[in-house]
Amino acid sequence: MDKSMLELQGIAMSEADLARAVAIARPANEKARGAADAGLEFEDEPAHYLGFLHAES
Amino acid sequence: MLSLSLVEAAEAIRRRKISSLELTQAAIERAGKLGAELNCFALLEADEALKAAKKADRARGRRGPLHGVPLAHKDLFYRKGKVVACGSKIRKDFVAGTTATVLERMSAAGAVNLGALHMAEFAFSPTGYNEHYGHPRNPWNRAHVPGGSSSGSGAAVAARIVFGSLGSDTGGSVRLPAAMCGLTGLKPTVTRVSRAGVMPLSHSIDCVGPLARTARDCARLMEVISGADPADPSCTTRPVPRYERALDGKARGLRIGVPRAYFYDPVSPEIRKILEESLDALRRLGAKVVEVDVPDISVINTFMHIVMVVEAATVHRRWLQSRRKEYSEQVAGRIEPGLLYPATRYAEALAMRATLTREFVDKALAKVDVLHLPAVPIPVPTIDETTRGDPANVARIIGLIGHCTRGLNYLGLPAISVPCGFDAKGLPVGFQLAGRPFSEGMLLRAADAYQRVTDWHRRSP
Repeated sequence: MDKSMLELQGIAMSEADLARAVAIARPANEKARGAADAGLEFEDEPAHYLGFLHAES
Repeated sequence: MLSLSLVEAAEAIRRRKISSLELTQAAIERAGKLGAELNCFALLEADEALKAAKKADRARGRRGPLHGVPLAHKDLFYRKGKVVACGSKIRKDFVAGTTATVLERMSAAGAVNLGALHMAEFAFSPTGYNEHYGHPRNPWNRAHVPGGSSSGSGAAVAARIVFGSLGSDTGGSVRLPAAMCGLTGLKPTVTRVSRAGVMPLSHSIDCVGPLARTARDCARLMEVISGADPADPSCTTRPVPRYERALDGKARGLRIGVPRAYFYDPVSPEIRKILEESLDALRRLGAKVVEVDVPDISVINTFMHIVMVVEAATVHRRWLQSRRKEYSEQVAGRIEPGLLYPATRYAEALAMRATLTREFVDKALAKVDVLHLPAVPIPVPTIDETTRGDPANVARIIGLIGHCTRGLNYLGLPAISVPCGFDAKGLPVGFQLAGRPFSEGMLLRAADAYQRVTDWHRRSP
């Protein structure tokens, strides 16, 4: 999976560099997915953030 | 005369007690004496600065708020016709085709530009680490890091070479060097200041902000650089407050929240004592200090990481394909995880931003005006501690440096770093005040009130 992602990006990485990147990305990916599963609504979209900033100030 | 604050220097020029030329000559002389030792300049443009200073002294009529004051800025602000290397090897020959809006505004306000200041490679290090051009040094102790990524800005202002500097802050890059060098540094609300002509690290998160000696200096710089910009459509059109005029020295009635969890967890006893003394000073000014709960910051930090590295990887992908060897290992290693996140995760990280920011504001700032946080929870480390020895320990120290700053970048909230003491080795310690969106005025007012009853910001290395 991680190697196919790199193919899609058109980037060759050494095994060591890939292992280092995977060690960071995999746990972050899982944590973020869990948080999104628990908290993200279908209606949420990035533009709401700017609306929030202005409404809150 | 280089020990004046930026505002004092501007006033001295305005009243003709001192000329811009005298001040600029003194700054150049000091840059010649200390610039190489601290490794804080990417490019010193003495002749151009002297020419600009002479022109400033000859000028008649209305003068801007920075008239004749020598400043210099992080080497990621584009200057038309000039090399802007961004601390990198990749861009060492890049000649900008435009000038950053914020620099145009500085010039329009009358500032004299002394050149470009050194920085971490592509703004990627909280220590200021730069493998290509050497590590900038902390003016308080050359063996220690100055903080990054606006490392040259922190070192040059603290060393009394220039009176102020603009930096960029994506995970703490204004506040960290400010705290580690004994300066005041403001990260504004995201969208408050134009980023047109600024080399991006992460376009959803990047902010431009000032580092200077005092909150008043920062207020003046913020008034100059803030405001709508057609060249940056993401920049807010809301009016720019008169930040400096609002500084009245009062903090009576200010409600300050101290988070029960996360921010203070890794703080060393030595730093904690200094931070508590800063709270005592604010209490004596009439502020009310209460403990507050905060949401789970680790989730915020995770989304922050995803947005930052995916956007950085988007900027750097083509260079990583063809010029990977021109990156330092540390920087390539930070960008590359950004190539591995699915697009859904990035979209979720952006879509969750409003929810998580609302949750943070509703929980942490519901009953208070500002949060009091450490700026850096540990004593300023040495360059060796952040580059040599056990890689796990190096990673731990580097991670701790941005512990209290990076989450606020994802939330987009404004925060100011204020000097409040020195550790046992004589290195500066700072606290942060963070507030609601667009509460820069309140943060500056509280910091200014604190600085009227303390003198940490006046100490020089």
